[in-house]
Amino acid sequence: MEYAENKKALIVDDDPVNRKLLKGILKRENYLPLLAENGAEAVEIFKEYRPDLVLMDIVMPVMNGYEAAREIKKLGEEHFVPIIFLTAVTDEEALTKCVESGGDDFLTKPYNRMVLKAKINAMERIRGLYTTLNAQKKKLEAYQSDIQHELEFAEHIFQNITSRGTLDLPYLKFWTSTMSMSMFNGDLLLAARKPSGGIHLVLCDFTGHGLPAAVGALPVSEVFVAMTHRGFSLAEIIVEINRKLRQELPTGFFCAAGFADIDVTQGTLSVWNGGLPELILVDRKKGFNKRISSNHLPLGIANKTIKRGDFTVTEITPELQLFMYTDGVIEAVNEDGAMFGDERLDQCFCDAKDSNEVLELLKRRVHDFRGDAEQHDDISFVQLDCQGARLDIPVEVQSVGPQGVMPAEWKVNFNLSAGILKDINPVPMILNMLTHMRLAEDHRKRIFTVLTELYTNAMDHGLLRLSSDLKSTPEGFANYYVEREKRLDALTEGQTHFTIQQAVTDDGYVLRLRVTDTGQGFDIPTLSESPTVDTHKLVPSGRGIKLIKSLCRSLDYQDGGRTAEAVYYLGDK
Amino acid sequence: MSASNSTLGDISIDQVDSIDLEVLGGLREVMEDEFVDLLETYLANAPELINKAQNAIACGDAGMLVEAAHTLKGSSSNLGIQRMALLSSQLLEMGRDELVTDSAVRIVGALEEECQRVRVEIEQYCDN
Repeated sequence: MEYAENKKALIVDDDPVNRKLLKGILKRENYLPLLAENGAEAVEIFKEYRPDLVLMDIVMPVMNGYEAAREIKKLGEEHFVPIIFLTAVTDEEALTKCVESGGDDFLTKPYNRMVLKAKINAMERIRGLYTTLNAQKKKLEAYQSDIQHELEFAEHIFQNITSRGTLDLPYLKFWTSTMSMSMFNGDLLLAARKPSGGIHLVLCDFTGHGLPAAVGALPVSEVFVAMTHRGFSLAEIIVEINRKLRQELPTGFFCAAGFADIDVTQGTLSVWNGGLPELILVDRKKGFNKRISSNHLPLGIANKTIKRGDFTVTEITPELQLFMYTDGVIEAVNEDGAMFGDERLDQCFCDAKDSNEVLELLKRRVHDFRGDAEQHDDISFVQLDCQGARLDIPVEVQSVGPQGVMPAEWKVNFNLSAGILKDINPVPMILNMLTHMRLAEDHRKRIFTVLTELYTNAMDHGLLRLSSDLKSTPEGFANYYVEREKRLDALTEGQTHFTIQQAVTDDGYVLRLRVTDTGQGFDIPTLSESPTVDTHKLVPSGRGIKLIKSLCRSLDYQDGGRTAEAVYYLGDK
Repeated sequence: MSASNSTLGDISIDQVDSIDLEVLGGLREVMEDEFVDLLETYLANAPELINKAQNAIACGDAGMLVEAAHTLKGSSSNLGIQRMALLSSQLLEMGRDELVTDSAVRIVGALEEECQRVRVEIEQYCDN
């Protein structure tokens, strides 16, 4: 630190001779001397001129040197103001008092110019060091405050985006715990309602912790929620999330994830595990216990294609629960460095008196196990009561006619050939189009269901000629989808034709949904004459048609089952 | 009591010069233009302090005696005015021991005499 020539020294002494003497010496050292006759005067002068050095006599009238030193140190605060006490005495008690009141050095009488000079130099060095240190400290504080501000900002955005995936569902219970010292959780749990009822659920565990890990949550959350709402299948969503993570995140950054799909129509739970610890499926009443270990790479590593056969499909029984968790649970470390482990986790399932106690029990045990040890990873544990999710059909909203300025009557046609059908699910596209027609949300969801069922029938039974009998047992489900995948791959010809028409009838607006396929048709009566629906048993084939009928005014098959037309009522004129 | 005081206390007045010319020479160099002013201030201040000491003894006020002796000792020693420093040091100890007696009166007398001698010597020094 370079001192300007106008550095100031405050000389505090009641003896004029000493004041003059010190003034002379300090002038030689390029200081501008300021003079005070007692402590009180010194404090006043200090306030006004902020000198760089103080030479302080001890015994003075009005206010002594100790008191004045304390005051000055208080005023100096973050600036280092060296105080050199002028003292004739060298006994320990007096020196201790000097130090206690904030003195930095002593000069004993008689004053020796060389000694004083050396002391001043030493003080200047300390002062310079202190100033540098203080500047660095301020810089660091400013930096820290900036970072804190940025983190809070990021957290705000993060919360906004990830909270789009609704978690306020009565059948979904979870426990998340963020690792020590972090504002961000590298685990992400999202649930989103599908337009046809039922939900998609995902639990992600990103590489690392804190903000870098949380960043990946943003694209995942966007894609997952938006695509689910638009009616895309879970397979399509996983592929898109994977693509997006590969595109946007740096190499070596990936995301272990478990997905679940509650299919209201089929009454099934489909799960997919890419890198999470075993997913656990339990029905305590039935003694059903199934583990689905990861048999896929985590997301964000390699190109992915997902087939329906990649999902583990389970019939939803009344007590069926799905448990997903991140490795932070089993890898929780205690003070001795031991891990919580699988066995302790399994024990929670055994010891819980009923299924709803598992989560609380686990939470308590992990907490007790860890003791005072720091949490090194984020922890998430999720419990999904499948039956609850299955019965969660959005509340009926009073039907209203088409809103806004859309035309009363219109018609669109789509013709999709075999080549396109392999890659594209047209239902979300059509639904997206209907969204632009400003249909009310409840309409949109029901229309989605109807279209999905019509399209599935046209594809599966029309073009792909799959028999519903395959699905008559829960085990058959997986086979059905494997077979479907195979046949779709092999499909070279055939078309599906969609006609969507809005019309005005005597009693209001209707939407005609017509789906035609070029397959061989099927025997309509067998399909429609389905037995009474037992909600706990799979009756897959007839259920779709029954569902369409419940949502629509009418459902007609023509041309030997190749054409199906549903009339959906939109509302009064 | 501190080492410097006892050392001073052991030295007899006759063993030291009235003024340490080496110290004074150093000061002249440092103070430059203000050297004379410094000495004049001392010469004006010293009799006042001696007077204050006299009053203190007359009133039996040991505290006031200590104050006066402390200041006189400090400035004298800083200027190398050794005998004055030595005498005021003895006075200071008396004040601290609260022995404000005839010997204190004698020392004040000696200080007055010494002060005159110093004035003469300093004037001579400054003329050179």
